[in-house]
Amino acid sequence: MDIEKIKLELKSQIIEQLNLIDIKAEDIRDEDPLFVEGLGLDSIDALELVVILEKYHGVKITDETLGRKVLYSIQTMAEFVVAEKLK
Amino acid sequence: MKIIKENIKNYIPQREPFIMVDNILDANAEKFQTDFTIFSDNIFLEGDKLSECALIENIAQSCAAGLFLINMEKASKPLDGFIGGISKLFVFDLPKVGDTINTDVYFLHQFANMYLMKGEVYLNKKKLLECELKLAGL
Repeated sequence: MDIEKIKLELKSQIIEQLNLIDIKAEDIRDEDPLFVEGLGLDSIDALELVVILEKYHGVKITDETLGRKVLYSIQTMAEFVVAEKLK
Repeated sequence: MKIIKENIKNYIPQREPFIMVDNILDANAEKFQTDFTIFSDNIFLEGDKLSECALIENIAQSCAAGLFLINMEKASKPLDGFIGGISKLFVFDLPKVGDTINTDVYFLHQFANMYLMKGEVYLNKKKLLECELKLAGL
């Protein structure tokens, strides 16, 4: 499973789903926090990220504590997708 | 399950003149249905037509009522919350004074205390408006 491909897909999906019209995929660094600093998302946007993971990647987050860790950055989201797919 | 207009305040936190739902016609885990009649004293009237803002509020209140109704075992009072985002909004027409609109709300997703809901408002089976709402704090 190509984690780099997943990261690129996640960036494009986040931009599209959240309508981030001024941001390009290459502007989002893998390790940067997605919330507040970094990409500047707010807590409501977390819902959209959960939807992206389920809709496009077939993985679910139901636990809020896990969600905080997984939704930290593109890197953590992609690692979660890979780990879940390998289960 | 049906909740009539006289009891609606037991299911939503809003109060007059901001109540934009009359009756809850049905509510289950996937879909809520409500209706609402527009009177001449509605605060969201523009001329004799109800504004699209009121239709969005109607969807939000339908969500709040339905979510409380299906979660009554866990929640002791109507759920406070706010609209965190509106997307995929399409407005086709607006109802006028005297019309009764019917609203269908579909449960799409939940994460923590946030909900993604889709709402459709109809007048005599003709769709007036549809959108997705992100609701939080409920």
